[in-house]
Amino acid sequence: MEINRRDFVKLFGGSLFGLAIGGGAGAMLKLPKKAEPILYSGPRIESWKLTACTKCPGSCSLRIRLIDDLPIQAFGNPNSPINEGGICPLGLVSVADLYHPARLTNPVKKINGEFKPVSYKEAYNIISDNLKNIISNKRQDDVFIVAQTESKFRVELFRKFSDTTGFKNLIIDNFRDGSSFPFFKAAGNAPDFIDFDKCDYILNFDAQFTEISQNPIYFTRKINEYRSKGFKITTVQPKLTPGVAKLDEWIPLQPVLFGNFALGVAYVLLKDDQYDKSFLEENFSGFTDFKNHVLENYVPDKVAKLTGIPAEKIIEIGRKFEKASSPAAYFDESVLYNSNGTQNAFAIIALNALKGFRSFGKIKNSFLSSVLQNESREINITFTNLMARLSKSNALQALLISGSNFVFNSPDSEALKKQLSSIPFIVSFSSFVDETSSFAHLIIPDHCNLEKLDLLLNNSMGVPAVTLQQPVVEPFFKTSDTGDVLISLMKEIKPEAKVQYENYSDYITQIAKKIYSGREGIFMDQNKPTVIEKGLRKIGWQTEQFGSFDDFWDSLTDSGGWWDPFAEKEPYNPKIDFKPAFYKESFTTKNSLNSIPKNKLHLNIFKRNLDYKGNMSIYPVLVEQFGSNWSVFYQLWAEINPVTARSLSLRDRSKVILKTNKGKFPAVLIYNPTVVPGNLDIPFGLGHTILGDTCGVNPLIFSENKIDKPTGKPSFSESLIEIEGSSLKNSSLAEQVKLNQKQFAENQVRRDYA
Amino acid sequence: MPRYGMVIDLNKCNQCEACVTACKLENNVQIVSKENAEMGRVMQWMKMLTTNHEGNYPEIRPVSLPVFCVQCDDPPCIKVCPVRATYKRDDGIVAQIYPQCIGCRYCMANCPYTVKVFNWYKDEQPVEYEKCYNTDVSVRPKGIVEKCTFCIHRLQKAKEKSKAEHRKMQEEDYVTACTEVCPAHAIHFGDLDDPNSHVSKLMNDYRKFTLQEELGTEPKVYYLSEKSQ
Amino acid sequence: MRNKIFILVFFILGFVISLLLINDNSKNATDIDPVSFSHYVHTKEHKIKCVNCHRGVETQARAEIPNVKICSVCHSRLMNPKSEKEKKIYEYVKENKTIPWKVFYYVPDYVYFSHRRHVKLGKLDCTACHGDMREQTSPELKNFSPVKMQFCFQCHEDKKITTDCGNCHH
Repeated sequence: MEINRRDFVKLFGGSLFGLAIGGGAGAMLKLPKKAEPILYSGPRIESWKLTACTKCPGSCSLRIRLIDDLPIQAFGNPNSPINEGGICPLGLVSVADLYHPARLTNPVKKINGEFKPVSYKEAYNIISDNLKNIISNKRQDDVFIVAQTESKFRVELFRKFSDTTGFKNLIIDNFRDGSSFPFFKAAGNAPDFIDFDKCDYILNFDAQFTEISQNPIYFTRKINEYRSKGFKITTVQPKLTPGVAKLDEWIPLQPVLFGNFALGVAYVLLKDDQYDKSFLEENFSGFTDFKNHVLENYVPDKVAKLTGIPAEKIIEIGRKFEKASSPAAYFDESVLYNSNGTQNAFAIIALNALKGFRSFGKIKNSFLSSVLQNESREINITFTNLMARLSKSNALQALLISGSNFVFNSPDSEALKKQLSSIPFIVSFSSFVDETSSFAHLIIPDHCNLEKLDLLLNNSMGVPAVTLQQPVVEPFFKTSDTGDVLISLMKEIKPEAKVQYENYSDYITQIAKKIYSGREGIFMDQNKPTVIEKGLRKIGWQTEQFGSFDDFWDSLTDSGGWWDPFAEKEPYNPKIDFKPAFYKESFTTKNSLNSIPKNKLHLNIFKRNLDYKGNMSIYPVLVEQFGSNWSVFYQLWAEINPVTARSLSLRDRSKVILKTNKGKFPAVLIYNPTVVPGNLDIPFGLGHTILGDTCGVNPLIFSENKIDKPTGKPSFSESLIEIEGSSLKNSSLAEQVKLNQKQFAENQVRRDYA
Repeated sequence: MPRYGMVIDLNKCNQCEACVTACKLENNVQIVSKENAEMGRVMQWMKMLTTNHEGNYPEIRPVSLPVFCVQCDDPPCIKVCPVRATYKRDDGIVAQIYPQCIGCRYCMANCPYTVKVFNWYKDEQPVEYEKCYNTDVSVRPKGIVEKCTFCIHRLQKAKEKSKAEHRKMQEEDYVTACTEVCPAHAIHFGDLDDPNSHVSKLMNDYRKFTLQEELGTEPKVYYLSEKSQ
Repeated sequence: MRNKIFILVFFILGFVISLLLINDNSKNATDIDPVSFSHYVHTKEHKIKCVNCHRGVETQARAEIPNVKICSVCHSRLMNPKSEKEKKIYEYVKENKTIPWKVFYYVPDYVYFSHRRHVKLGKLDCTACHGDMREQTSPELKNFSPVKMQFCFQCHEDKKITTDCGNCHH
């Protein structure tokens, strides 16, 4: 049969067409792969396990839902006295980092600039050889260890490691240690908790109670209770964050002026002679000098001129503070994020001392104090020491980093990166290659939170509560617990020290034995003992509380934790040695807001509850939710007061460019009438360059390089910034500030008449 | 028949947004890409809305409340659905049937609270989110409208479990995901017709209000707040 | 005219070939049944009930297809394999390898079907949907009842059980 070209083309086209239709129809009959659910053919057996969350110092207890032995979701444990079933967004996503694709699966070593996998034995031998070398050269002083972990027992292990091996430069980067640093410097020991049941007035200096604190969920419940009794909280903050929006009074004030404000309030107490004289005679040395200095220099009118808060307001707060029977002036680590942060903290401590620290307390822990012997040791080494050593070239021999991403959190990261490249040996124990661990020569990745065994102690309720963090699954990859590595190193470097535990789970078991030997307390799923039982105990009638230690451990793993609701408390009676240096030097003498050049705004960086220590970009759910309350997604935004914005002719929701001396950065401008006029508020947490793409910029890049000298924390609110294209219309910024003060005074008058 | 409703105490809420995250994780709601987010297509069944500000500076305070499908007793969305993909059940829940929906979005236009969300594109989900999918809830394909359903999958499981154990269903058996995780215990869920449930006891509170009651949709989510709205 | 016939013939040929090539339900026996499982041997000769192996029937939504863990309860290393077919299962039990069963009764993601409801609460027998598996000596090549909504709906209407959409589709 002859076929000409045209016919051939028609036949060919026809058959292709047929194939296509048939192929499409066939494909519709086949099951598409994307529609297959996970656990396709498994029996889908559901089980529940208990563990603890370590994202913040709160240490809430979690219930993990597993399907076919794979963790799927996390919920709160309703039996735990800390969170009572509630949980914050950071705890809800704690399952996601098990499955993260960028998670390191082996120990890696840097060869020619790239990370190549090595075996654990090889990595361990490199570290131990290096450290032994350094010890034999007697250069232990040139090694720094940076540790950030929320578990007090793990911190204790780090301290023991530091003592045994002789590497004395250990930096603990915790929230709790940051909050207690000023107390240690002034008084030698820190309070354990603030007693909300006893307290009747709180003057809060920039502590975000319900968002980032020692125990956010517990504080949420307690503050609701406290306010329902009718007591008030006055908060002094540079920004009205959402968690604080309910509190009774907000005094907008830049953090550099906190110390001045606190001493202005102290003036009122000293002048009215309404302070706790007996407490101060016994415990406060150097009081007379302090009193004279304050009465001379901190007259309310002077403070009012400096801070912009009317003198009547300062006197009113002073009167409230002195009338209350046990007031508290509360602060925590966030007050240190200023160039005179520690100084301000000293002033606040002095204000508390005037009323005898009545709302603060300590726990009498007889059996746990033998474990945590180093907890009350003074913190001598901070980031300032590390930065000082790094600035001298070739000063450091080695650097060990565990759990801290301090390159992201530091103000001058470019210079820091250059300095870090000059250290010959850096070891990191993080699970990801983030900004800090990308400089490491060797990474031994740590287990993820659901694969570890640990005990978390939380004292901020007023009673000790220990939550058990159990492994929910077997470790997926070849990661190793940092505690195990440290214990093996200790044994190898100093075998004569006779370390009494084999590995980290052994260490935890010994701590549990100490708790067991105390014979106090109940498990979290038991009811509180009745008053009669408690009375019988006091007489001496010992009911057999726990059986053998194995029974104790089984009950502990079943219930999720242990706590002692009847632990004895004692008042906090520190011996304060108030040196003149604490109050005489470097309180700001002029308000920087009064002299801002035209067109520039005052930059204020704030933290949100979705990002606690700057490592939120691991979780895609949180990255999307970060700006959801303003409907701004995956971008950096800046909040500004509408009056200020209109005077600079800037529109709402416009895309602006921030002009700084480190470059130009895009952002979205949002009108927020709660922002202090003259301020530009930018959130902290976006801008990770290596891990994930959270978009936006880290605002610490364009803030000025100021730090709090004793602790090394970056200053969050002392820089100036300019928006490109902003033109000042009528009034200058100083007049804005005056308008602010006038409004303040007007509201005062209105309230007096009402 | 029970009539399920919710009472939210705004004086206890501190805008931590745990309920928003919990709803997203429980119901397998999609995470959108950056381009889609810029076009306003972010999918959140539950939003934390800041409506207005009260007072003058510095006594100014924002008013924020969680907003989600209020499960109206007279829903405007079911009256316009051409295929009956959304309808009101006997127990008061307004259900959404995903295989039936044709994606015309008429219900989205009719809802006065704008709580219905549409799947514009099927974005590639990150691996760490896909492995944590809740197996009780289906994953919606492109072109489907979805909204809060008061975690109806939990109701089915609770009914089944209580029948298998030969007992009546108690109040604690069926709670929504947002109620379970709220740290301040501000969200209360239960049967509004049962005089013994703690939700109906809270309905006697003088601070009660609902959103847009003048429209006559009879919503079943009540808010308690001391300030006037 | 002749050309049109040729086009039509090739069209149909292409259609049929592509359907055959792409169709996933392969009729290859070893693909479906890697260990030559015979229901007859297990139920009639050894008198094992359905519930003993498909253990999730009365307590869960999914009745599991038993895998190595359950098979090794009886086919453990202590017993001697007698026939050719038993040797096949020993290969899987020795190495604790997962048997790659092919799922026929596949319920899609957007439907909620619970065995517990139907077997324990509804008191249905296994044969109502799965047929009498006790007589089978070799694996079945197709479903006894189609996994389609008409099948479920018919039974629900006949027995007057609720047909509310939201109960199964969520």
